[in-house]
Amino acid sequence: MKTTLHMLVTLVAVGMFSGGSLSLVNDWADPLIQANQARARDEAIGFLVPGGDAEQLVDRDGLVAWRITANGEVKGWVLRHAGIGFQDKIDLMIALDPERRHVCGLRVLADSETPGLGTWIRLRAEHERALAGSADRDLGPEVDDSKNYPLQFFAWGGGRHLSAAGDLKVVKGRPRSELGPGEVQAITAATISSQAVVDIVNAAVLKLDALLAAQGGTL
Amino acid sequence: MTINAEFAKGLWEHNPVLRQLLGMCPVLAVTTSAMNGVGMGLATTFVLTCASLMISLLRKLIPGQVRIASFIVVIATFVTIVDLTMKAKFPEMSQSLGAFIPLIVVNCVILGRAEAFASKNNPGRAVVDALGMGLGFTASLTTLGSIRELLGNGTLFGVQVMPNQFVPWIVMILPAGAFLTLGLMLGAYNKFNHRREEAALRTARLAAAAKGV
Amino acid sequence: MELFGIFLTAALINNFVLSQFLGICPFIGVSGKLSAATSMGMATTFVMVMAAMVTFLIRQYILAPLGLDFLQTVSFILVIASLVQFVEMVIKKVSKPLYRSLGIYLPLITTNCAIMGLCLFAAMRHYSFFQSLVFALGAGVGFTLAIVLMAGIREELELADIPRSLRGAGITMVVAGTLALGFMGFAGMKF
Repeated sequence: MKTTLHMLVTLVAVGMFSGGSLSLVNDWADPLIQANQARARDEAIGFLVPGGDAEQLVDRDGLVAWRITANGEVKGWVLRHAGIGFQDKIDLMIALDPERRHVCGLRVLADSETPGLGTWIRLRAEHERALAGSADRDLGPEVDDSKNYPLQFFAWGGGRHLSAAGDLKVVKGRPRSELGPGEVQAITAATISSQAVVDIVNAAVLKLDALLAAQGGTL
Repeated sequence: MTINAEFAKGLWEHNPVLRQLLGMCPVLAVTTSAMNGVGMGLATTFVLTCASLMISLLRKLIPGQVRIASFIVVIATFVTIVDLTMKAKFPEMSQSLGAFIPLIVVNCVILGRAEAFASKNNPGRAVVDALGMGLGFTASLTTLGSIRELLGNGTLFGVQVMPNQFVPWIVMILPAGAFLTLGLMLGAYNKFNHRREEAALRTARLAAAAKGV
Repeated sequence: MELFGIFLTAALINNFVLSQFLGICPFIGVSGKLSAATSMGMATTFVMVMAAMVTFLIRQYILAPLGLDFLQTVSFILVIASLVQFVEMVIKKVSKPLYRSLGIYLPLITTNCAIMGLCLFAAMRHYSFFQSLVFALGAGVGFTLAIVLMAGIREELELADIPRSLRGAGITMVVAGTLALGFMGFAGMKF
């Protein structure tokens, strides 16, 4: 009887130590963790549609959408959506123009794509810096190299954008200058990752249209 | 055993990864870069040291039948503390290491040392043993991570080391490269130890012959 | 169809051992003999399925509603440890020969990162009950497949002249590397 009591007391004591210390640490850590996540999100939104205030309008079915306004004028939309890539989930943030007709930007938040191949879906640091500093987000003919895949989601060739009608298709072997607004040039040797991103963008845009229509047109 | 020997045994002779073959899962999964190896190694060392200290302090109070359950709860608590702290203070490292921080709880090194050493020795020795094992673990992780990063990416700790003409061996970053590199590292470790044993044996035989045995 | 996708992904495309690096310790330790490997694989699959179900219930009905997500690691490992104890007791009572053949492997399943990893992934991806179940089945099948393949190869290798320094864990890792390369062929399958 004494040993059983001893065992019980020990387990309860250990349990209380565990629960107690974890509650304390969690109380300290949770606000910091939330702040980190908010910062990452705000930084991404700030990069994609700069100079405005974000208002979250949609958070359903895996889609989160913000409308960015400044001085009463809509500057753009940012969508967050995820889908399966080559290996695991790809988590994207997509920028749209105010009328939601063009894709204006892309940021990959999380991916597990093949290093050196599928990871070309991410912007290179120098391109990200160049885009952040450019007003019209157009880096011109650079997008012709198939390794500059993400640049297509911003702008090219003097202000041309990809369509946000949910009809994007992946095309191989033709230069960007020959393709239309519904065609996306694939990454060489990483077709699946390229297709996955396009699928996620299409799905996000269509979901947003459906949800906004269900809520009665514009908000 | 002297305190120094207690500490040093975890570094080479009883290296948790290369000799005891414990804690293999994080060894392969997170060593895609040298920095990840260091981060994971230090996180594990922290949990190992705190858990060993706690278990050693309580060793006379925990009855035998519930000792494994108690050890597990103590280890899991420290793992959660490390997890929450990393998410709060080092979010990028936390993202790279992913689910492998909570998986420290099933790292056999920690439970193994708790059972084999911390529960039978005073806190001072337990901490020294834990630090030695943890450092040996970190060293193995960092070595593996460095090799994979160097050959698979051309960088070391993020710094470009290989010349620009070097085409990275992507396979080193992938699972296949991890297994292969670890296998060859084990081979090298064993070969080194065998050579040392043979040399020691030869010296012993010569000494015996000289004595005219 | 989506459930089948989860199953196939866990079993082949993102094989728990060869792609996600979970369950390596038993992979090295128990893949020496084909019979041991098969028994270990089946026991692990069984514990995986039970653990997935119980941890789902815990996170859905206890942790989430009470905002205690930070207790996930502690509660999951306790569930797994208790399940393994329970399974061991049941097998001992129900079938002594089975207990003897599984023998020492059962307690080892507690520290098998594959089970803890499975529960953590299901929690991270917010899988439903059936998704968790199918995920666990796929993971178990994949683990068993990998360990049985390795056991078969190692039994053949027993007659080969392997360099002394690579015997045991060394050659297992090299072979695992080749297997991992092979399994990469499953990547990119879509449903």
